Amino acid sequence: MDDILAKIKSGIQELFPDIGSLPITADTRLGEIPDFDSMAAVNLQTFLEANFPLKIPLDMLNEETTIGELVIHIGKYVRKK
Amino acid sequence: MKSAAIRSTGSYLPEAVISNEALDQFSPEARNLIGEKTGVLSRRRASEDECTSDLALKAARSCLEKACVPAEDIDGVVLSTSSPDRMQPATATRVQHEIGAKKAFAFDINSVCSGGSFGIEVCDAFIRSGKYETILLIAAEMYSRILNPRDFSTFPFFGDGAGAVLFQAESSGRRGVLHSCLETDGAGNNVICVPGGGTMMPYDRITNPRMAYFRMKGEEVFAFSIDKGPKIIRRAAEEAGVDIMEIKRFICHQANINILHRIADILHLPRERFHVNLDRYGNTASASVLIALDEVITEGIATPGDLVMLVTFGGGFSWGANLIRI
Repeated sequence: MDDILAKIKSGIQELFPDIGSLPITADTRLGEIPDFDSMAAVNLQTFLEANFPLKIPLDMLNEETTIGELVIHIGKYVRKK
Repeated sequence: MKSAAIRSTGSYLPEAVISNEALDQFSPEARNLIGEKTGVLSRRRASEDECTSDLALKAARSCLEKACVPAEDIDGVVLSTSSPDRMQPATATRVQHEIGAKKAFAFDINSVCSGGSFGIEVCDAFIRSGKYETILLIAAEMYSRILNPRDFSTFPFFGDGAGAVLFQAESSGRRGVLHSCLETDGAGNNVICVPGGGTMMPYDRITNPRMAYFRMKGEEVFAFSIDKGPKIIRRAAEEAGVDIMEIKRFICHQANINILHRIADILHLPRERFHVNLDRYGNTASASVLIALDEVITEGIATPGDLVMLVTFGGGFSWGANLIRI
């Protein structure tokens, strides 16, 4: 799970250059990330699907979704593989 | 006083048509959003061996052929681009050389997507000064080279293309550019930008590759456009003493069909009065209004004597309007 969290954090750092020093933890909601909107959700979807072996529906990447929820969702698929 | 009348127009769109379905770096679910969010169904993309001045050249040649004006008669070449061939010199210089406009001065302007309106005002001012008779305005953009192919907030919405207008002095003052309004709010200078590659962030200081690409905050741009668009249309019409109902065609920057509809609705104008080509070409930045103007004239949508208004909004923030009698 730590590997998944680290990968997501590095992706967010790359996708959102203006994030500055905002700490990304399991409790961080996507809506807290500066410039996160419906377009940015697609960029996050593209990043996650390129880095993990699963499809992620866009409606899962909403402002209320936490990083921790993403890690758990991805972790289930990664374990199955 | 002399006015800058349109002698001819031209445009060039690269041959390659890229559909939304072809953007397979994005999920099918995301690709379906492109048309829904902006109205863009396809865009043109320049070939690997083309650069911005090649598109500009083809638009310029098309424009000059229609006018039957030799390039040697051109006094100046003004080229609007926010995606130039090189950092320097001006992209216009290669165009001036290649078309053989030997006596013409040539320079670029960059007002991002508003460059069409700003360029028209510049050309009009040159001609009204009495010092110049014939000015070629070109707007050429190749955003496919400055966009991150994996950035959904920009890549699907832009296309490559160029438009051109040949302005000539008209002594009657009844035709041509009747009035222009230009405005800027520099507080928005970070909303649409290419952060890296200039003196603020030279290439050797770029730590995130995304900083080398064009980016924009779409929601802020949308709000800005529907706020300023109707206001500049009203302002330009009022200052020119024209009722907006007299204007045959509104040629707005082709950024998003929902912006065009909102502007039409706010002004209580029929949406059909607003020219649309973004469905076929996407957002061609400063070239969009000149490509659309060429379509409007070539297709006979506006004929001699008709009033058209070009309306632009873009990076800076900057926005403008030009009232023109064809």
